[in-house]
Amino acid sequence: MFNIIFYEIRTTLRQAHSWLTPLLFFVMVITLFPLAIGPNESLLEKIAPGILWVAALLAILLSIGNLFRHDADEGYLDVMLLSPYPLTWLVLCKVMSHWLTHCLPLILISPILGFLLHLPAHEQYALFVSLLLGTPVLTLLGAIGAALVVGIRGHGLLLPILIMPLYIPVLIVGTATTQQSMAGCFAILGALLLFSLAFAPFLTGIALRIGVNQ
Amino acid sequence: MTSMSHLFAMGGYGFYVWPAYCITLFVFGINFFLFVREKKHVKKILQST
Amino acid sequence: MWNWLKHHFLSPKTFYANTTPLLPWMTLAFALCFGYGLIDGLFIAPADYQQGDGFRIIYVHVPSALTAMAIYLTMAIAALITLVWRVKIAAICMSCSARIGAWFTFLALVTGSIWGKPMWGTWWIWDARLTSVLILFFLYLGFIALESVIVDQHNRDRATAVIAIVGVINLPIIHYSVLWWNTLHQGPTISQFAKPAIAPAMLHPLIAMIAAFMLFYGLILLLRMRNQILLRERKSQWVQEVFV
Repeated sequence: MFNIIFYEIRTTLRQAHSWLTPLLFFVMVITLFPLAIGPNESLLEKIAPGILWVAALLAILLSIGNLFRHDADEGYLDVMLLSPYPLTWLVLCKVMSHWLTHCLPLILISPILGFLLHLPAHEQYALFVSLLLGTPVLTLLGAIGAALVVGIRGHGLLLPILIMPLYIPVLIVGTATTQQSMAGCFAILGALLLFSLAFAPFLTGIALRIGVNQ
Repeated sequence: MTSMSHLFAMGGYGFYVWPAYCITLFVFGINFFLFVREKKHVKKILQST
Repeated sequence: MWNWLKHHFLSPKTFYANTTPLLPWMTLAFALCFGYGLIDGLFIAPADYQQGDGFRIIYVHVPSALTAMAIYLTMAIAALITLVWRVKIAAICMSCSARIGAWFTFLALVTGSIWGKPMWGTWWIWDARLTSVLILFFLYLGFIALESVIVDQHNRDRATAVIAIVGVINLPIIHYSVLWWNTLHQGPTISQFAKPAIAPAMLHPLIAMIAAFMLFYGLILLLRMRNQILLRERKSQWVQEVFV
């Protein structure tokens, strides 16, 4: 299993653009907001958790479509489906490596961006943890959509449209956790993570079997 | 019974009540119209096979 | 027994034959319920104590919202049947219901907004119910979008079935998370948008209208399903014999 993860990470890191672009997108979207709304510190402070979370959500949304792209192009998908290892497990490995390369940089850089948006210090910690717990959920849920559209050429924004309703509860809980920092909120995020860990790879496997026929 | 203008005014809320009902009838009508259009389309395809 | 169920009773041909006698009765039932509900609701039911005659919008808003949710539930059940048992008419039911459901959700949103303006002073509010209906609308549209992209019939049925099932699981989660989010931001005040209890004289037209809307859905669903059956089975013998 670790072999697969290391292989995936090495492949992704080799192409700098695949993991660098979501990061740059994240940073740029966040810089758009003060430019659009004005540098009013008290206003930015209030909406900073929302901006950071929405930007992270968008960055993941736009990069998750490539989860199975490489495999589909190289014909590895059929290999995956026929392999002796359970498909759920393989999907989990792929999602994990995708999270490590695409989402972890976002999480690590978020405190700096929070500082830029005048995020209060006590919310910084909550934001970091909420992203840490929430971005895996987004990646897991996004994998379902990515598997469904894997065979469709030029699906454009169809994938974001399909996945967005799934992301809404995660967004609500994530921003609430950042703003409230109550133990209960973290627990709900943790529960979401466990729930999606349990079900999303299985659903992704089903979707892959359907999607690969196209 | 109440007069026509009284009915039309709907106790002052006429501006809201009547458009709501009209939109409802419109949606019902569109659904039926879409069905009829689809039926014509199917007929055309069946004739041509 | 199972073979008979799947390959004979639930076959498109039998479905088509069985639904033909149903249509005139459904149309009659719909016309009666709708006519009664319309007249009773608009003219005969007494005006509300608080809301005056404006409350009459309830007779189109509540039925459309209820029907929109019922349609999604029907879609999800049909989706499950499509995925697990691969029954063709379940796939057709799912596909046709999506379009009708989208229209009803649109109607619910518009009539709700029109009702909101005179009653609560605003065209829109981000509370749990309204937000959930808006997301329901997006779920319908997403389903239709996915359907339009996939070319192969069999794959289209299965992929859209997955989306429908994922959506039906998601909808209560969204509703409760928005509800929770609302209480966080508004504080523990009693919702000012709670519906008051309804008097019997006002209830009868409401029930009639709900029945009318559901009958309309059933009617249009059967009509469009029959169209789709003819389209999908156009190469089969029974279609060729009867229609060509």
